[in-house]
Amino acid sequence: MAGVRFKNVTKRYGKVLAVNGFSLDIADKEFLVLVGPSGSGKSTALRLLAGLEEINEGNIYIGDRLINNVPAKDRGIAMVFQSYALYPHMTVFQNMAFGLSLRKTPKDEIKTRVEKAADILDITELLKRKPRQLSGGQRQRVALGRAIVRKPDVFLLDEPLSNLDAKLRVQTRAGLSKLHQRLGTTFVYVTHDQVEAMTMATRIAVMDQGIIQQVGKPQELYNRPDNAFVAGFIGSPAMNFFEASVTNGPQGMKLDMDTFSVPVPKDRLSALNPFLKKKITFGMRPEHIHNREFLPPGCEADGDCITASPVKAKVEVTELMGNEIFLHLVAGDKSFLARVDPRTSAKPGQDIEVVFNMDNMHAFDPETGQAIHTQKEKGQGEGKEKVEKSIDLPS
Amino acid sequence: MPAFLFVTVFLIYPVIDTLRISFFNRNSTEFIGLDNYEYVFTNSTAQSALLNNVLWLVLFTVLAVGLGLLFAVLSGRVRYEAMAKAAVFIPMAISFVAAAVIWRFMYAYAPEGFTQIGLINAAGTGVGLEPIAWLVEHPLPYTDVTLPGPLHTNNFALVAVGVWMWTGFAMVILSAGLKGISTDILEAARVDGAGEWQIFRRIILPVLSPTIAVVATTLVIQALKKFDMVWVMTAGNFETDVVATLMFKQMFNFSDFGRAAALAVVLLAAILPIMLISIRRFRAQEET
Repeated sequence: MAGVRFKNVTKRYGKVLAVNGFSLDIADKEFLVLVGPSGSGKSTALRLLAGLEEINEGNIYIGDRLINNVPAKDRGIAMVFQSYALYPHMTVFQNMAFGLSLRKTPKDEIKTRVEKAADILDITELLKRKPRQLSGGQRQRVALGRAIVRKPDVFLLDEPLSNLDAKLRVQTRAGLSKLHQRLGTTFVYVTHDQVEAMTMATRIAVMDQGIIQQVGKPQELYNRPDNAFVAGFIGSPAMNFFEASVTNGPQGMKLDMDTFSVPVPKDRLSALNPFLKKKITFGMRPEHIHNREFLPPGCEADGDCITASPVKAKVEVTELMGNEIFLHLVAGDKSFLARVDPRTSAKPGQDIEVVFNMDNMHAFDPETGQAIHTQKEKGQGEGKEKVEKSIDLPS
Repeated sequence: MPAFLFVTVFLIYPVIDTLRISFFNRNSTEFIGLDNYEYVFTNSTAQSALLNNVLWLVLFTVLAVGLGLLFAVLSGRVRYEAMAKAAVFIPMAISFVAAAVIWRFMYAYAPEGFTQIGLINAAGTGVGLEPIAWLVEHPLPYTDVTLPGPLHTNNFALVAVGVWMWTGFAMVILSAGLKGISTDILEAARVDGAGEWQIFRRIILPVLSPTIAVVATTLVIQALKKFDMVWVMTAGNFETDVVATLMFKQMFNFSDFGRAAALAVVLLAAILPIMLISIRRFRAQEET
């Protein structure tokens, strides 16, 4: 059992910076998800931790042990690969026992440990088969089993669900969360799928271009993204972004998008004041844009529950998801997506009125992409930092 | 149906006719039963040819596969991989007869005191060693030890040329097989705790074994059919005959069709099981 600490880790391939000044503390027993688009350096970071790549600069610790020059086999880690990487010439049992037999574990103990892991993963009846006789889901479980029997300090998982079909992926997601609780071991999980990150992680680190963009609990990342990249990456469907001018009129401060404008809620005024008469990037999640006919519960009678103003828009496409409808809307030259009540009768080509729930607005500096936070949000951010620092990790 | 006819005329008929001729006398006029086969298995020249072929089969195959695997693994780890592989593969591109001629020069011998035009003897005498008639002598080089049967220096010298020619082939096929092994598996083994040697022995070698079997089968068949190099370099003299060269001699030098046919049948009988095994393996691979 051990935490992991990355300290200013850098990895270069020729002139390309794959991982750039990567610093991250992962607490013992945490389920940390590294998420980012392809090429963001998340897999490289994991491979550096696994000992499959050499570090150019910085240090990595597992527990209080500096592991920069420790070979992969002595790092106390086990890894699940995207391709599962099962040994094709060995049976499931031999695959799972391989690591233990290399360590000269007594045969009885190997048998006990493999059988126990097989029982946990429900693959006992597959132990005598070869990998090619297994389905994708079964292979995935064998790969997990191979990692479990080693009883590692840290589990590394590199996109382990990406080769499964959608239904199995959802099942396995829950299975992995349960496994994490049962084993009580540190998990470091790499994925490009933010849904996996949101559903399984105790904390998420969002990466882009080799740099950590934000680290936090799933809810924090969703509610209070630090920059436009994180805002756009976390959440599905993705956040709508508009280029907006901050203006002051008779009804108070507004965000003007040429074809329509929306009011700024009171608690945002001071934060946006420095941007008066300037441009900002205005962000709004699809679920915070409502059809005017179907406002969220509690808002029907009292219009003051949200700071809002109706916007006229034309429906281009509707996508029925069952419990909700995605509306692809266009207002003037601005296209955006709304996620609305399924009772909505809107049809393609129709003009409707939607309401932006401005209490959930996001604002970003268009030059730096950094979020423009209110004082209250900044306070929350500081609190979060303190919590992270109190985690007991070696320095 | 046309395919069946084609196979019958060009494959089955010649085989059956060869079998028939092998039971007849030198000009196929008189049935002599198993006399020709008795010659093949009891005559000292024929026995020596059979044993030489066994030597070829084992030594040539093992060395060419082993060295091919070694070069395949090592060349995959250097930056000048393409160049290194080309160097090893080039002999394969030379005509076997031309290669044999080249190596006759390499092995060329002149008595002590004369100018050595053979590269190996020139180098040997250059450092004070006595010249050796590589393609003639039986004792191990620079010793008086003579090993029994086919384990003679001149046979080793011939096998070495075969290995020189065929290592490139083994290397290219094995190297392709190596590249087909996913790096994930090797990395998984490394994380699992395997060192380089363990990865090679417990992962690479077993995963590569079907490819090794294909290469080995090809080389075994080559070894059994070996003719050209032996014919050009020694013409089977000094007990270097193999079955194919002896067959040629029986057929064209001694005009004994019966014995030649018997040798051909023995050769066929040796190759057939190997062919069948490799065909079966090929089918099994296609099914999975």
